[in-house]
Amino acid sequence: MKILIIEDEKDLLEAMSGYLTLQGMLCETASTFFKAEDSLSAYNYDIIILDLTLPDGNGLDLISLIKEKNSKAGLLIVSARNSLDDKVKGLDLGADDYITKPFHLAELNSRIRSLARRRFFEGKKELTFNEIVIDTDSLEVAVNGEFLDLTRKEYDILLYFMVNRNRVITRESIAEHIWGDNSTFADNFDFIYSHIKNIRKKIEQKKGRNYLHNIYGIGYKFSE
Amino acid sequence: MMKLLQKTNRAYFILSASAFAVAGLVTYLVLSLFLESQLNEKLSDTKDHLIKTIELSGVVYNDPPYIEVKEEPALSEIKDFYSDTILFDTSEKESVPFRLLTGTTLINGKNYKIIIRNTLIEKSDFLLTIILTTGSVFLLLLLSLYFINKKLSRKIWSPFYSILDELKKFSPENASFALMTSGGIEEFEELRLTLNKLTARVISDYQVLKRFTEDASHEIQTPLSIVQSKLESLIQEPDLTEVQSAQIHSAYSASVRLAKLTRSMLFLARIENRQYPESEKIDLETIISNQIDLFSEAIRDKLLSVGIHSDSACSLNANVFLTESLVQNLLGNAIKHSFRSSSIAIELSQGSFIISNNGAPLQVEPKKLFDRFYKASSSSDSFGLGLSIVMEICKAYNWHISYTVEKNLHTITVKF
Repeated sequence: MKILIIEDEKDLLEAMSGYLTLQGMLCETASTFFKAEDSLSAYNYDIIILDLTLPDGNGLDLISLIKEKNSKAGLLIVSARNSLDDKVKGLDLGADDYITKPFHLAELNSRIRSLARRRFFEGKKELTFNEIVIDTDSLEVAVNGEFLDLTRKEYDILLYFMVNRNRVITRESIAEHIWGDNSTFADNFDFIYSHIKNIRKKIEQKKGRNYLHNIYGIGYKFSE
Repeated sequence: MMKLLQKTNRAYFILSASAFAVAGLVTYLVLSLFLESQLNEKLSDTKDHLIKTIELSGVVYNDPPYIEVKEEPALSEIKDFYSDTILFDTSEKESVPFRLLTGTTLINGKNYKIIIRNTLIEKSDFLLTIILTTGSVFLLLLLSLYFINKKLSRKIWSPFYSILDELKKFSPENASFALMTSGGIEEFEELRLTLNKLTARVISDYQVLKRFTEDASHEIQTPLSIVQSKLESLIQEPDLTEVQSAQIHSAYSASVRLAKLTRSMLFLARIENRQYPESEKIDLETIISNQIDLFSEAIRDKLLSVGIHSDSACSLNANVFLTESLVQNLLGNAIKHSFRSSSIAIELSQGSFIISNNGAPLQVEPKKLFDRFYKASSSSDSFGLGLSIVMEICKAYNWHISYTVEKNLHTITVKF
């Protein structure tokens, strides 16, 4: 999957492209409006990540160019402004999703994957990891061909791990992914733990292996 | 506190009262001196007239008690002597004051003692008359002053009161505020201009302050996302020691916490700056059940029971995001501060939303909880912004919110 990241903060750009590259994506970067125009005119991308605040132009103006040159690309807007105005305008102009700084890289990755699934669902609506298959259309999970009876939150957590496989996922990032702003009200880490315990148990019942590893004090990692 | 008019009236009163008292006293003294000398003159004239009569005709005229002439053989000559006396008037049957002249004279070799009396105006009558006249003049003056003042001051001060009325409507949120009238009076025009400068200053300070929170939180977000993403990448390193990863993780947790704080502050500033104008018809019950679902783990964990009771469908016109946030904060707080195995009751009706839960009694006034960054317990890891956000949302829509505590029962009512 080919991705263009348009972001003026160099450090953030590096962190984003580093994370996504490790997830097997092909990342190109542009740190100015000018460079972005260049890349957009020259190449085709599957996903474009666009920061609205650029030093030499308003990111919103790039959207029309994207729609013109890369009409098939999924567009994810990143903004520090967190203003509904921008969000509405961006989505009106044809952006597919919106994420506010600061975000967890795992969350960014999850949004990109879900965007990709929605945009190019030709054959790609199934996510597979060994014996585990997730059908993101019907929201069903099968282990060794047998369906798992997961709650909505368990499904979301498992999907989050599958998308961010082989990476350490912090409990903070899971909590925000599942509960959003509601995560400030309770000690969610215990709830995450019990959800994960349930997922493990349910996968085990279908003779699946445990890919969810505890990373002590930090979170979890979904890997072989 | 007294009114300006009252104060001037009081000053007028004290001043004129003392002036009139002095004037009365002086009148009294001058008049009595004048009368006395007049009377003395009259007595002396009468005496001269008597002497002349005796000299010419030898007739000794007596008219007691007014005139008494006695022939006394051995009499040492005395000078004319004036004095006051009181005699009993038999006809009027009362004591009457007299002025009397005592003198001696030698006529045709005979010694006469002459006493001439004349009734005196009673001092008390005299005093009373003066007090009455000055008093009534004083009262008349005072009354006319009072009415003139009252009428005049109402007229003179009318621009002042209209400035005051306008000023009472001042709110720093109304950026176009300016006082208009000064009634063409220089002092009030000066007051008006000064107040306009002052309010303009307050308005601009308020705007700057409002923008400041928003700008500051906004500016924090980008560097914060760099910190957060770098730490997140660092956590991925395979060869970290346990100490290293614990340190990285605590730095990461702090950055996440800071991110949540700036997000809340930014949110609060945005509500204040009315940046959520979109509104639509919302079914409150749907939002509440969504939120209950999001909190399901916490509810189950504390063995709480949440009951919704609704008389009629509660729909309102508002921003979805803000309404969700309101419910989220109120429900989240109720869950967080409930006793284990207790119950939370939600009552919905067209026009109000009531949520009550059982928790430890408050140590402070409920109103304080709506203050920014106020935390009921310092150990709490919340920022103390939740109820401030709720308050701002209510302000934005002119909803009325109240918080009451009765023993352990905490109730929050929002009236739409």
